[in-house]
Amino acid sequence: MLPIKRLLYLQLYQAETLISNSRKYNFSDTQKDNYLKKLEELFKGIKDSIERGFDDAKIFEKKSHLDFIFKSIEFLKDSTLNTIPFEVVGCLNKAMSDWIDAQKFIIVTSLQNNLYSFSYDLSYAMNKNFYQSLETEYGVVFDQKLVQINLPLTLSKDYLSSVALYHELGHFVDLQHSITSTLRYAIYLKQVSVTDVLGYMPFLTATDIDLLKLEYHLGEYFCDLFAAQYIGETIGLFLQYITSNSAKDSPTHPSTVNRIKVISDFINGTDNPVVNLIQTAVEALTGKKMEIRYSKITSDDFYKLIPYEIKSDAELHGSIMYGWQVWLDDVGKFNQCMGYNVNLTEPTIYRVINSLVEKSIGNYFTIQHWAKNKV
Amino acid sequence: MLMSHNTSDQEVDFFLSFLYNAINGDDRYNPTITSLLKDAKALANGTSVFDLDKTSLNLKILIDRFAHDWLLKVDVDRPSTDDLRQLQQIINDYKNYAVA
Repeated sequence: MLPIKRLLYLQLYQAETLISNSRKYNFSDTQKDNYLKKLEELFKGIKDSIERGFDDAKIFEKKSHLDFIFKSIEFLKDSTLNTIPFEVVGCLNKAMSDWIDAQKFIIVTSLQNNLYSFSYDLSYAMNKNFYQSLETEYGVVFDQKLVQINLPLTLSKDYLSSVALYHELGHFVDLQHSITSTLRYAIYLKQVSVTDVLGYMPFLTATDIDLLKLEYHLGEYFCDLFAAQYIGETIGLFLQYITSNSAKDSPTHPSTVNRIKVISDFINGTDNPVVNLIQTAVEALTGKKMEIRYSKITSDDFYKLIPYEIKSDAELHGSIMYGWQVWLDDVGKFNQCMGYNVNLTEPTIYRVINSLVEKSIGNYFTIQHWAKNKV
Repeated sequence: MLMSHNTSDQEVDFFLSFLYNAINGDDRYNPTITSLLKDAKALANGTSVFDLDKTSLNLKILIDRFAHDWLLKVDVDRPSTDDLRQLQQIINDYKNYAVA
């Protein structure tokens, strides 16, 4: 037997061990339990199908199917009752529901040992061919797919930083509706004029357009706008800080200065060619419009150390902005408005705000859950 | 951080595995292959990208970009095994070119 076949068997038995260990995971919902059962069914299908006469192409196919089991369990492992940032996932789920059928997806998280490692793993989000392959080979159909979010372990319960995840959700929505890829191709075929956006994308003047760069830049602008719908200019604030407000672009990202300008123009309703270009594509492909989907919260509740009573989904997203607004405000004001005869330090105020955002969001979901169960 | 991911390579790999299975007589993959090729051919014939079914759009676009002439000459409703072999070769050449 060739060594590569021995490696396939090695991976097979590693996956068997992993599946066996995963049976002890305790999830907060039955969706993930059912997903795990599907993975077990898939594993059995793969194991039964492996033949010693396989050539390299078939080995690749089986390896890819086993990789999927590994990746899925990695995310499920970090999405158990005690590890998943429930409130953040709840907010993202609400935002996702505005754009796609959320019933078909389960948001799961993988906690990374890397600061600012916010990202969506899109490996299996939209690859219809991959799921077709599972169905054809083993008859296993995944009715729900995983939306895989990577986030830093150290910031997984930090609600102010969670604004970055709205941007990342944008990548997932983009992929589901093929917004960036369609727009890129329409530009490439000159089906869409780009004269107005050359100031933002000067590389489009080249005879041979860098299509990958175009797709990346369009994707980043789209995701910034997507996030700004829900959390306003806070996405720009966070971006400015972590990128040192860079004026230079890169092959994968537009300059931060341009990104901030696009976000700001969108929020303020100022005419902007990049916003117009993307808005046109979004409307054509989704039948929806990018618009402000948050409500600004005006309240003294956080200053008085009480959670804010969120009344709508728009306020749900607005509560994260409210947390930012209080944090950016004067520390002295916090202590003054609090009404208790103590002076909280800045680190304590940070923890209090974070906790109040968490409680406000948590209460909203609890009340919604009660109301649903009463009916 | 705030990065997008390119899933095109994985889609191409799976399409290649579909072609491999079809060429080797496994006709379970034929409907999927035919459906993808029909849309890629529509693109090659000038259909607006906004009007196309968006499933596996990146793949359809890639097939049009790298196998444009092949698409125009082949009956994509009933591609022969030889046709599929040619397409497999074209896509493999593209992949080898891309990593070179």
